[in-house]
This record gives sequence, structure tokens and C-alpha cells, in this order.
Amino acid sequence: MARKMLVVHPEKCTACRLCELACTFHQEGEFHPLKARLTVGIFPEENVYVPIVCEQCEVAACQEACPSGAIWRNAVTGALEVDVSRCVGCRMCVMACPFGTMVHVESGGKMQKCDLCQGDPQCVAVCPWGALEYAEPNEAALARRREVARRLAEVLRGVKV
Amino acid sequence: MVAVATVTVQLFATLREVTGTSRLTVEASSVREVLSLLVSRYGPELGRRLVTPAGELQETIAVLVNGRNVRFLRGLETPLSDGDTVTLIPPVAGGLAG
Amino acid sequence: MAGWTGRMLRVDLSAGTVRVEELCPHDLRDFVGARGLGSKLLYDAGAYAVDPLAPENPLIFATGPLTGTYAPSAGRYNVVCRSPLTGAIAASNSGGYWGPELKFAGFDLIFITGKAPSPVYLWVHDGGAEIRPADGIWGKTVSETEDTVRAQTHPDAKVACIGPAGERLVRIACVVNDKSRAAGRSGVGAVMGSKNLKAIAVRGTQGVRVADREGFRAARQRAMQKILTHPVTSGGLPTYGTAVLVNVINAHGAFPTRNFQTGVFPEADRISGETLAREYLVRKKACFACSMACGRPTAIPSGPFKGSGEGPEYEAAWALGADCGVWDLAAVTAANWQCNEMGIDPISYGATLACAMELFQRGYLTREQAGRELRWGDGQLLVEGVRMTAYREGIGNLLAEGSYRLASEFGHPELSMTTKKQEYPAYEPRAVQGIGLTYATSNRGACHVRGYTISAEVLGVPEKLDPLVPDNKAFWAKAFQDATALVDSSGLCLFVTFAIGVPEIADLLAAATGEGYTAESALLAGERIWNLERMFNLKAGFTRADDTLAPRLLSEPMPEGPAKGQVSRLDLMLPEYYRLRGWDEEGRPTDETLARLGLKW
Repeated sequence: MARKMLVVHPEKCTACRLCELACTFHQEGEFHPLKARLTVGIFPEENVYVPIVCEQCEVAACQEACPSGAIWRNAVTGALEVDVSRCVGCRMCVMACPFGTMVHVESGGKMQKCDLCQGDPQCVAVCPWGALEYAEPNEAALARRREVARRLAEVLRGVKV
Repeated sequence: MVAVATVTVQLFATLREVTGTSRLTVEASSVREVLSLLVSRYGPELGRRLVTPAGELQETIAVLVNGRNVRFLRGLETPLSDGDTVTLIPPVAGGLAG
Repeated sequence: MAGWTGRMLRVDLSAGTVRVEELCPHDLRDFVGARGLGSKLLYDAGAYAVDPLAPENPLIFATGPLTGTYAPSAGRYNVVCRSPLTGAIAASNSGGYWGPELKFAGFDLIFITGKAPSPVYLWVHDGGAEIRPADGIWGKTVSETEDTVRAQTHPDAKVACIGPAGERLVRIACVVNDKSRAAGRSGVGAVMGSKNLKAIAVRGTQGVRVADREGFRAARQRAMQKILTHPVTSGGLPTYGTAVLVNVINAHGAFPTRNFQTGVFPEADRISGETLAREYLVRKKACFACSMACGRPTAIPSGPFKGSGEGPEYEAAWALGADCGVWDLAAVTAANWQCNEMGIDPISYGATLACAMELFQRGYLTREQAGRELRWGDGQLLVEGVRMTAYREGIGNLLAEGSYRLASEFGHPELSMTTKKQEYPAYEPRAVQGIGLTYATSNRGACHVRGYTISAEVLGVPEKLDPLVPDNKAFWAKAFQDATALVDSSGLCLFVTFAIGVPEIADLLAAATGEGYTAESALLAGERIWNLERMFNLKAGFTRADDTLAPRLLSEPMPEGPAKGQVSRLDLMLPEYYRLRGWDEEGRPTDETLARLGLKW
């Protein structure tokens, strides 16, 4: 069975940013969006809101770039985590990650990233609209295909072949 | 014998989705009869929103007759006259008659 | 300090100085924040004695201790000053994201006095602020202003600004943040304009702490359990927005139509939340930390009103719609967008236009004087009138002064539907007795949110009252007013109170601040804030005579609907209200009341 990952449904997002707040409250003990491990991209003119999360890449640029081996894979959750004792604060990970999900949290340049809250992601728990889901990727993709198929089925209902 | 009246029924918010309409005309002599008619026409999906299994008005629905909440009139037994308007307000629109 | 940051910015625009100061912990504890704290500072500054458009009038932007946390819908801040529309205290509430950003920059509040020699904006960042020239920004619409200021400061800066209306001291001008959220009422935008202050941009990189993390988490969970299951907060507001009320209020015969000439608008459904959701709604949108997502991004794809923006809300749909006899939702929506861009309160604009329409109907204001016909239902006039008001062109120059000054100019002040010169919102006192009492006694002039007895009288929250009777309404008015003062001072959005009450809010405040708030002490703080506002107004020269309603509501029976034949029974409700408040017959708090609340003249 594949490990779960964060699945984003931007069409359900309302731009409330509760995910950013729940994240830092859990990880840092205060409400601090700049240190959140995810961010909601809000585009009011386009009426589009897109949460950007760590994708826990299979081949991870952050891990590859780290010179001190501070980024390791948690075998249970599948998340990439930062070993703060090994982190030297060089911030190569920041430069390498194409999604920008590395976060600087301590003076001295210690970095952090999403660790899926050890398997109970708080962003998912707090989202009122299900815009963030913690699911196996194939199941999530299948559900999305099913939804598209259902909408197509409604259109086809009246069509004679 | 109580006269049957021709009344307009107004439906707001989610009740429109369940019935597919925002207003209709029915023949009824009391508010209770209006609800029975609606339930028999639109089925249990509407029925369970309007009445409890015991046949009483759901606490979360507000029913008005000519703009007056029936809880200040005679409840479900409120009689109707020709030309009356019966309004059903679901809980999402603040029904909450209870 | 937890919840609060404990720090404020003191800005003197005349001297061009900015100072960081500590806030008094007693003020924080006793007046909570936002509306209450701002009102306390305004009172202590003696603003009841200054000309509202003079440099001495303080303009205060204040957040609450919960603002910036994940407490339910904790995104709110208030703009507090003496109002140029009413002369009374003004505390206008707004959502969006601006308030939390001020907390992330490390401040609870900004206190602004003086007048800049030429237009400026304020740029607030971690631990400080600078005053910057607004060359080339003064004159811009709200969205142009936001975009330009962000380009000059930071791409993530949150901006609160005035549009052309505030610049021209339009008495019904507002402050808009995040392009479509507004500190709407009482002309606070004109005060900002009178200081040559175009915008306040904020960007913070810090966090907001709470005193008891586990207690806060648990208190939030208990509150959210209720909010996520209540049909209004989890169903009605997200799906239909506040305009879900249009059909409900109209069905109760309480939807003021054509300047309060009647309470029934036959075309109400055309401007309802149901119709908006079907025709022009793009998606739902939330403010900071809010699960109710009542924001309405809208778009009109074609026709004379093609465009996009946000809204209309219930109040705007009413004021721009039924009050002016307009049932074309496209015109109402486009007029609302214009109000956002020009920075004008749609309630007062629509109500003032409605007053002008009735003056025209009765021949007191002629075509020659107005420069055009002012006919009920004219959607084109409705939309064009917003810009004209903002720029004080033609009839707009009269509308810009609000309905009381307009109607007085043409010899008929009784046709201005106002109390203390502020326009009534979207509920008819002859059909809902209690709201008439709260209109008459609201400290900022006619207002619905200050004591929203509609909740009980129409919606049955927390219990169902009969809207047509005056009995017991004084009790409920005081209860709603005190609780609302608390909510407005905490940083939470008022709409959470459909589902939660003072006990839940007290728990959140206690866990956030570490101050031992209980339900009793929190409600007492609300009562204290209410009385302080009253003291401000009494010192500003208001008397019992000002706690009244427009003559029509007191003496002209409602012509139709379930309230046919009724007038407001303010005469029965007001004396009991004063008694319950612990005020004398002149509406002045007694010495015992002041002592109980810890207040001093």
C-alpha cells in the first residue's frame, strides 16, 4: 500500500489560511505564517487560491543538495525530515527546492520543512472545506477521475448513441 | 366543514434545491395540510426536512403565514384563506423556529 | 504579553514622526482590544471636543488580542475616531487580512493624529513604520492604490486605504482593505482623507503568541465544533452569503422599500442571495482564519454592467436595491463594486440616494436642482451616482453629505431615515420592534450590528421572540449590545455568534492572554465599553433627545404586510432600556453604574 501524501484541491480552497496557522501553532507553538511549511497562494483578480505544500519528492532536491546529510526519509510517513543537529544552515536546500518549501526557523540558520506532523497533518485537520487531503496518491487521483467522469455522465445522460 | 383555500407557497434557499422550484400554488385548509401535500409531492427528501417522524414541524424550519411565524398563530393547525402566502424558511436561512 | 503584543505606534502626521509606545496593561485587560481599546484611547484623548475633520481628531486602527490567531474568524480590526457624519464616536469593523498583518508586525494598534503637509502613506513593518510621500497615488481608486503601494513596499504587504471619496472628505466615505473589505460606516474614510493619509501598508514577519497553548487549542476546538455544525455558519453563509436574508426579511414585511415608505419589496427575490449564487457568484471566499467564507467574488459576463469584484452583501443589496426601488441585480452588483473602488459606504450611499429620490418624488428637490431626474428603480443613476458622489459632481456633491444634510438642505429633514444623522440599515423598525430600539440607542448612530436583535426576533437565535411586540425588547437590546461590544473588541467576526456565545469567547480570551476572563467578567467588559462610548457621546453634546427614530417610523403606520398598521413603540421600550442600563431618565450612567464598571468621567 502506498504511503499517504498531502493532496491539494485548489478548487475547494477559500483562502482562509487556517492551514498556515495550524501548521505553525503545532510546530512552533505560535501563529506565525512566515514559518509555515505551506502557503496559500491567493490571486483575487483571477479568483484562484492555491495552497503550495511540500511534495515529499521521491528524488528530493533538498536532500540531494544538503552537504551535511541533514535531510533524511522517515520510513513510516515517507516524509523527508530535517535533523537539526546535522543542519549547518548553509541553505543550499532553499536554493535547490523548486517549490520553495524549506523554512528558516532558528537564528543561526537552522532549517525546517514539512514532516506531515508525523502522520497526523494539522493543516488537513483544520481545513474546513477539504481542500487539503491526506491520502494515497493513486486513490486521490482515482477519486478525481471519478468526479470528472460523473460530471461527464450528467452531460451524456440525454444523448442517444 | 373547513373551506379549502388556494394559497401560494414560497420556498427559500436549500428548499429550492430539494423541490426544484421557488414557489407553487396549492389547495389546503391548514398549514399541516400544506406540509402533507408538499411531502407527498416531493417525497421523503423534503419530508424529513419539514416534519419529524411523529408528524410535528421540525424545530429548525420556520413557517410563516402572511409573514407571521405560525408559532405566534396556531402552529400547524393555523387555518388558511384564499390568497394567503405560506413561507418555508430552512435552517441555513435562519429558520430555527424552535 | 500574550494575545496582545502590548505595543502601539503613535504617528503625528503634522510633525512627521513615528514612535513605538507600550500600551497600558490595565486598559488592555479592562477594554480588551479593537473597538473597546480604541474607544478608551479616543476618550482619554478628549476627541469628543474636536472637529472630526480637524488634525486633532485621532484616527485609530486597532486589533484585538485574538486577531492573528486561529480562533474562529479571528481576522478583525476596528477604525476608531470621532465621526464627521454623526459627531458621535465611530468604530468601524473590518475583516480580510490587514488586521492580522499588523499583529505580525508586532503592534496591537496605530494612533494617528495631525495632518501631513501633502499626501502620504504609512509603511508599517516589523517594529516600526515610516511616512512616505503618496505622489502619484493620491487620486487613485482603491485597487489601483493597493497595487501601487504594494509595488513600492512588499508584494505581500496588506493595504488599507481610501479611494477618491475619502480624499474629497465625502461624509460617507469608508476605509477599504484587501480591496473589498471595509471599515464602512460613519465616514471614517473622510477622517483619513482629512489627514492627507492615503493608505497604510503593513507587512510583518513575526508571530502571535498565546499564554496557554493547550487551553487555547481546546477552547478553539469546542467553539469550532459548534460553528462547523450550525446551519447558518456552516451552510447558509458559505452557500448564499449574507444576502440569504433578503427573502427572509422581506417575507417578514421588514425589508425597507423606497426610503422606508413600506416594508415589502415585490421584486426582492431578484436581488437575493439565492439569485446572486445562481447568476453572478464566482466562488466563495473567506477572511483570515474564517470557516464561514461568506465573501462573494462576483462577475457579470456581458452587458452594460460587465465586470468583476466582490459583493453585494445583504446590506448593500438592500440599500442599492429595495431602498432605491432597484431590482436589477446587475446594477446593484456594479454599484457595489463602484462603492469598493471609490471607497464609499454602500449603506449610506444607497440610503442617501433613496432620500433624494423621495425628495424628488414629492417635488421638494426639482430636476433643475438635481441636474437630472431621480426616479425610483433607475439602475443607471444608481451606478453613475457612486462616482458622482466620490468626486462631488452634480447631485453627487449633495449625496456626499449624507441624507440628513441633504434633506435639511431642501427643507425636509424628516425624510432622512437616520438616527444621529447615520442612515438606517436593512431592517424596518415598525415590523421588528427591537431593532428600532437598537437603532435609536446605538452609540455610533443607526446601526444593525451593534445590537443585532434580528437574530432573536426573526432568526430565533438564541431564542425566538415575536418581532411585532415591544415587550422585553429592552432586556434583549442590552444583552446583544454588551455581548457585541465584547466580540468587536476581541478580534473575532460577529457572525460567529450565530453559533457560539460569551462563554466560548471568554475561554478563548483567557487562554490567549493569560488574564482570567470568565463569562461574567468578559460580558462586564462589554458593558463597560458600551458605557464608555455613551460617556463619549454625552460629552460630545448628545442627549436623550437624540435617542430617537425618524418621524415616519414613530407616527406613520406601516401600509402593508404582516406589520400593517404598526408604528415603532420606542416610547415604551426606551424608558425600560435606560432603567436596565443603570442610567437616569436623561440617559446618563448613574454614579453607581460607573462605579460598578470602574469608569470615571
